[in-house]
Amino acid sequence: MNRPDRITLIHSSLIIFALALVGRAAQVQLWQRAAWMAKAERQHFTDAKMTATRGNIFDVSGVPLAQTSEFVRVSVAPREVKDRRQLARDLRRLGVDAPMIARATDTTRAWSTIPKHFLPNTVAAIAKTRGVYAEAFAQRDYTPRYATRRILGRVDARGQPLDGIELALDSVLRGRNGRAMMLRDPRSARPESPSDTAVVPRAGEDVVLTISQDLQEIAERALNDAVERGGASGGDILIMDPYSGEIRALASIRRDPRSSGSPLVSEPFEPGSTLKPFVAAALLARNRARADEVMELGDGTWEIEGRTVHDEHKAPRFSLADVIRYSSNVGIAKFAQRLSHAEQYQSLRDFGFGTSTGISLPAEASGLLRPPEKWSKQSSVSLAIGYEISVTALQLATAYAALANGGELLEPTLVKEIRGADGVARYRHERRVVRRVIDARVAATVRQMLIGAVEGGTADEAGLGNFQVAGKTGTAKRTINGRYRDSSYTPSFVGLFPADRPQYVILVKIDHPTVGSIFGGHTAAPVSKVVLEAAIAARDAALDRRALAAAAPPPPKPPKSGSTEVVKAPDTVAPRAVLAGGRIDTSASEGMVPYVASLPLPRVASPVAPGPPHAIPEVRGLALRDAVRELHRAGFRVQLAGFGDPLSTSPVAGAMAAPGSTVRLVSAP
Amino acid sequence: MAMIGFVLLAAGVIWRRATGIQHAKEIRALESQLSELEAQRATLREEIRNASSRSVLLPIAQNRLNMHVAADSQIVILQRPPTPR
Repeated sequence: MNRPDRITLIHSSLIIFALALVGRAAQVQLWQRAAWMAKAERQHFTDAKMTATRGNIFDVSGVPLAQTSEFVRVSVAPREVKDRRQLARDLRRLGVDAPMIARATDTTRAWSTIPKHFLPNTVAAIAKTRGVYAEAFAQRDYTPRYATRRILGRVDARGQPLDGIELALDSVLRGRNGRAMMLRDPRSARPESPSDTAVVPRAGEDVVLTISQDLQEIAERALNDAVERGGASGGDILIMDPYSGEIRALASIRRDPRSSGSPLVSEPFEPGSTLKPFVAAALLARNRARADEVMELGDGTWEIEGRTVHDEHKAPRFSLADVIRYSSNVGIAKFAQRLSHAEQYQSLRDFGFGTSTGISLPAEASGLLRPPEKWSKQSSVSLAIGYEISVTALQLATAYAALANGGELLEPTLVKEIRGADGVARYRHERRVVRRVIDARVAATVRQMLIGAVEGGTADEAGLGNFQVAGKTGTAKRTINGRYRDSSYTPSFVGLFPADRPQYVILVKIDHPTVGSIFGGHTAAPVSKVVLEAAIAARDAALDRRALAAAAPPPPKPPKSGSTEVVKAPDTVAPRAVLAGGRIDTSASEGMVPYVASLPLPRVASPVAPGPPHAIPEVRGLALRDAVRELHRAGFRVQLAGFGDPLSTSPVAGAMAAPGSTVRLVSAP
Repeated sequence: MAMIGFVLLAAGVIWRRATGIQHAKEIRALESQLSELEAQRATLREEIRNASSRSVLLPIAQNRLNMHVAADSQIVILQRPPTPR
């Protein structure tokens, strides 16, 4: 047997080596494929979490109230910076203050973060400087309005919601985070993998609120002035559309810095006399009293069950309408005796007191309305005048909305629409009726009583010159350490504007005023007037001016309080612009345009105040605007017929007419 | 021949991946630029809104121009007669 020669040995070794290589390659490529692929993936790729952009929050007309924007935080490693003077100049240009610049260029420090955020493009140049590190981050930006921010709530640095709408609608706003596969390269850059199997982040949905930013600003300013002027500890204003339940403004101010959230839904209070209209409604609905029915009041005090009830406006007798007009405690307490405890409780419960409304805000309180079995002997009287019950401002406004809209208790809402990132609406608010509380006839009668309260009653200071307002004042004692104190009150006013087919329910509440009057009629009612006047003058305050133009002007004011004259309230009051179901009678306002002209008139309380008749001026030949101005200067209301040059007036020029009467201005078509 | 084919194929794959990565970088840069511009737009809009808000304009109108918020009795809502359809 021949021994293998050297060549054969070498060839054999090579073949064995080649076979080993092929075998190993097969092992790696076939049997261990998955393990090696996973290892390679770990070395070459990295998983990156892609945070979803939080949805924006808008007001009813599309003004952003909260939105997420990308900003840049700049940090400096002073020892790595070569030209520190240049860096100091660059930082000064960015508006960084001198002490911070000194810190950023101090080489004894290893690292210094500028406590300010910048727009990315403003720091693009400086970010290229050696030793300067720019870090992008998303920041939630809110409208600077204090009261609006209380509603919106906020998110913390990690994007977690803390309160307000941010918390209540977090599941809608936060979206869904994504995941991306990034390549690792030798320079630690992390480009996105082209063969990416990423989960795309889904941006949060946008929320459109029912809030009108203009109205909110008006309310906030008026409230701030009132709280300052009255030395109050805080206050609230709530404005609601009584036909849709949409909340137009929610303003709260608290001097206590610990206060947060929305006190309008989370801080119940005793409403005082603003509750009386609901007792009147219960009496009317059960035919236990008529609006013109007179109650003997004696000397304005009444002792019952060991308790003495007093009136501020003393009179020997009042009709039920006058009881509301002059806010008679004795009157309403005596009338309330015609209701059983169960009926009184049930009627208040039907108006929504004692139950939360379900609004999209966290920490909503349900208030307190105890069942009759827990009442004391005085409870019926206390409830009639708005004590032994606590309500939130939202509950009270929603209950007044039922009086305004013809008797339907609506579900109030702050959310008008929710839109996906593609702009398609996912949810749209629709008017939701909780229940019918009273019939339209009773609601109209109570509204008529509320008009009386503004026109010559306790809410006189809420009245406007050209529009009728209905409303009721309240002045409730506050409790301190569980006891009522004579030194602390909650004055309030709830109004309906205009009285004829109301567009707003406005609630004004001032907490513990210490300067000036403590009465709602002098403290809260004027605030309502300021808000309404500003809203009428504002460009966008969620007002239907066409319907407003059709609203009835207020009649001449009746005698002031103290009168014992019985004001007869009609059994049926049918506002002329309202049809069944709450629709507007457009025939009355056909062709009217929402055009508002602010005229340079002298500061007078009301140009339509009754006065002696005088001649209608000649306006033929004047331009339309000048003609309207001339007629207004003479004290007349103007109705336009045509938009060309004025041809004539009706009544004709020279005819005598009372100031405030309407003159039809006929123009060329 | 097979070797040349393999080299060409490998070069093609590498070129394709390199181009893909380059495009991904460009897309990322553009996305970043877009979000920067959107942030800038939002900031500018907010500044315009604040500058034209009632809280800024009202004191200026009242103090500098001696204007006042019109009372409701100074506002007239003009009514246009219905236009024929």
